[in-house]
Amino acid sequence: MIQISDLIKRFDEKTVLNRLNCTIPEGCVYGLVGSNGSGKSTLLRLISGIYRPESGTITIDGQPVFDNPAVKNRIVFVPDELFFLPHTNLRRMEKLYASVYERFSHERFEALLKDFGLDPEANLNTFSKGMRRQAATILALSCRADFILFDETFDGLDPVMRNLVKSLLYREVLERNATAVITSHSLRELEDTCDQLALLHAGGIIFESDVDHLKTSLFKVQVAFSDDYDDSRFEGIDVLNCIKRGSVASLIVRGDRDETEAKILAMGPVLFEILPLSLEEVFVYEMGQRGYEFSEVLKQEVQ
Amino acid sequence: MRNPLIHRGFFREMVRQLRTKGLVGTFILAGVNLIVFSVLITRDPLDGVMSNLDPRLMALPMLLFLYVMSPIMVFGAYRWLCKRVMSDFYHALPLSRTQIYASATAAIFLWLLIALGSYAVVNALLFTVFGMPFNYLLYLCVFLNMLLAAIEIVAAFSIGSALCGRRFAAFFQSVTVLFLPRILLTAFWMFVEGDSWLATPFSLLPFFLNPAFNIAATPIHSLIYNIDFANVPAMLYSLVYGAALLTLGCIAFRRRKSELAENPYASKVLQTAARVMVGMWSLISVIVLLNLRVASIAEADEVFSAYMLAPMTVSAVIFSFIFYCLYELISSKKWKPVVKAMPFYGLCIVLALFYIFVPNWIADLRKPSEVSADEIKSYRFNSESSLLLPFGIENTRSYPDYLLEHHTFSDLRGKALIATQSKKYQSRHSYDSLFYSDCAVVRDGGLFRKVVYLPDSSPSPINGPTRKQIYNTCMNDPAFADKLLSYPKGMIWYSCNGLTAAEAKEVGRLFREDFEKLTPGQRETLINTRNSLIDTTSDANVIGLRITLYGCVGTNNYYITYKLNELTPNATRCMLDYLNARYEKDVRQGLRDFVRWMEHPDDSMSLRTIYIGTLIRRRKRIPPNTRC
Repeated sequence: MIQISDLIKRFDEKTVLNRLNCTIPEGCVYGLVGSNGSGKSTLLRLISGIYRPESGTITIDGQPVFDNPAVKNRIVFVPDELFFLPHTNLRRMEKLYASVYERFSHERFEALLKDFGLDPEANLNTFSKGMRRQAATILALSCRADFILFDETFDGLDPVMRNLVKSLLYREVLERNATAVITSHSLRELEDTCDQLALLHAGGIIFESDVDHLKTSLFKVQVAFSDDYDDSRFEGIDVLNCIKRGSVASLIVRGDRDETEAKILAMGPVLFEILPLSLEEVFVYEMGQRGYEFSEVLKQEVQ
Repeated sequence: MRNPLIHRGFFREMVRQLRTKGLVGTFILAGVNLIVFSVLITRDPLDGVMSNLDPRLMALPMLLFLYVMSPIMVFGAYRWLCKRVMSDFYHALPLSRTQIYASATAAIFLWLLIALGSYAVVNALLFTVFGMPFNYLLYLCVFLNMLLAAIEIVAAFSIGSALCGRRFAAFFQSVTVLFLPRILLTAFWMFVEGDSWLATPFSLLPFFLNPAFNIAATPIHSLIYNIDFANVPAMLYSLVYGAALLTLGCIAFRRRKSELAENPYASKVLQTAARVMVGMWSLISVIVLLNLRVASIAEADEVFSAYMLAPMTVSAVIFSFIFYCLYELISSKKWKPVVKAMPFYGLCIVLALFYIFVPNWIADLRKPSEVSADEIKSYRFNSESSLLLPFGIENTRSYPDYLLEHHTFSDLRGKALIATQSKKYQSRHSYDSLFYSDCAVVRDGGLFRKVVYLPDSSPSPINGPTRKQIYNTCMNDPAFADKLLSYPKGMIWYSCNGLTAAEAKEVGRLFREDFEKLTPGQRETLINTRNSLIDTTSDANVIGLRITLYGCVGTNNYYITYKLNELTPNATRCMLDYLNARYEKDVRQGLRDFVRWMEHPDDSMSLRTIYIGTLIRRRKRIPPNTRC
């Protein structure tokens, strides 16, 4: 488990992360979402021990990460800007990784090479952006680390490769109880990948939740009654938003689905329908509840 | 169990990454080695005996190699520190900062060791195979000194790399770390010794370039004249100093932030200090380079009016200012820091003026006018001094060392002698007089202050009688005389009048037999006291028969020349036989030419110098120094 407490990170005068607290459990895919410059990459670099925090702690199973090789051996980090040794190929990079990562698996490396169909002898300089990310993914997954950190995970990958990477990540989580922390500025990209999601804004995590719970606890209800009615009709139901057009009302409701259904059906509606919300819609309402304007938090998303 | 210092895997990786540089360096050094050796081997085997034994012959290529290769290796190993992406990659690896630093440093040392070691071993093998003089012990010391120098240079560049995120800034920072302490220490010693320190970094450049020299532990004059590679305390000092620098490098590396990459300096304080250093030293350098009479500048009272306001000095300030701004621009790659740095240039000027003038003003205030024999604390001879030539001995630690080591002027006779001469001396602070004077008298000037009296540039007052007096004073010391007049010890190579090495060796064997039979008084008469004989290259052409012994005792090299005459009959006979065999044909032809010339004088006819030992072989008495 990754435990982050009161984390502060500054670059010169600018505070990028301000008293950030977060807990990332084991055996899950943890998504970090935030607009550009919100501190996602910085947070990953802090977790992977690249940066030293100004104050606060980052621990993995109680052990500090920074300058701690034993803990860092359990982490592998794939940054947004990839680095490979100059004029080299995957075989040479395999040697480098194998020399420092204690659990690096040659067999796994060979298997992943087959899965991705990359030539290990080809010069990495000749690789496209997507192929370079594939190469970095192969190397990272071959390290058999407990914590796999991906920054802008799917950047440059085509849909087929995205699915392959996703399935490989799931396998790592399921088979080895590994934890994957992935970042993106796009909520849609993480929607079907993550078990947990956190929204990073203004140097802190403003919202963090289990994705399944989010999706099931927040849903849309369309309802119509034969008589005239207003919001007071829905007393006893946690309605986050209510828009009425004619006799049909669209409600965003938080709570237990069956319980809500029972309550509304007891009112005798002429139309009743429960619709699932997209993750983006869930975020919009949750943010609204917390006093944030979602379009401000995730500018990229709205654009 | 993990090694907390060196990570084996990462060490191997670093060795692999530096492989090309290391191999190229090794081959270049080997090439230099072969070139030097081929030059030596093509010379007359005995011409270059002393230079073969001179440790600088081996040290110089190694030192040059270190100064070129160490920065290349360090910047090669740490190139990732200057790129954000690379820095993040390496810092993300499961290694501690200490492991990264120690493993990379070990890899750098391994390649330097391979290059230097192969150079030293091949050198020793070549000299041994070709039977050329080679002082193995001394060269081992040279090799160790170079390894110690490597520690210092690599550590300095590691510190520079750890403190800076751009290579240009790192280079200047490293140079500062490497040279500033020794410049300041030397300046301090110069101040203690009463010499001008203004030109210290420039006049003593060769010494500053050799990190193996013992700067902290030895006063400046020993630093200059005592090129002693076998000085164990000096080596220990170098080791401790190098280790301290390495530790500092490790601390700097551990504290370094990964995000420093692509930023010139780790902190604003460091950036300001670095730019002030650059500005100050560039100004001093330009002033020194432009004004050849630099010492006079510092001593003159009217300096400001005479020099500081001169167009040349103003130009120096402008040039230095441009350099200062350029440095800031290149290191930061932005204009804004250049503008911010401009006000600090005033500080550079103030510090430079302080460095130039203040010590000399203090020295002038404390300068006494005369010295008596009682006041003399010590005295010293310069290595170039002709005072000591009568001893006919040279070792790598120079005549004064030999003299001062083996003979002490315990009574006041020697002091009185010097004091008499010193009355004619002037106390000079001019650095250049140091190199033209024979002897200096040192008087205690109080805390951290010696007053040194250097003679006038002209050595005439102390040549001649004084030299003889010093020689006699030394010879009155029985222990010293006994040492001087015993047969030289250690490995010995012989040279005599153009004979081959094998022939000279045979003559040397017989000379030793003859020499052992002589009394001390007779031996003294054999010591060659002619200054011209010190020039070994003209050994074959000197007047009379001579044998020169080149030897090594431990790490010390020496040579001494003896006359061959009737006191050494066997050696003389043997030598003449060799000369006869070699020159008989020439001698006969020469004599025929001479007879023809006597009978028919012809001014256009040239006569050769010939040895005529053959023609008197059967005579009972051997005429010494026979030559026509």
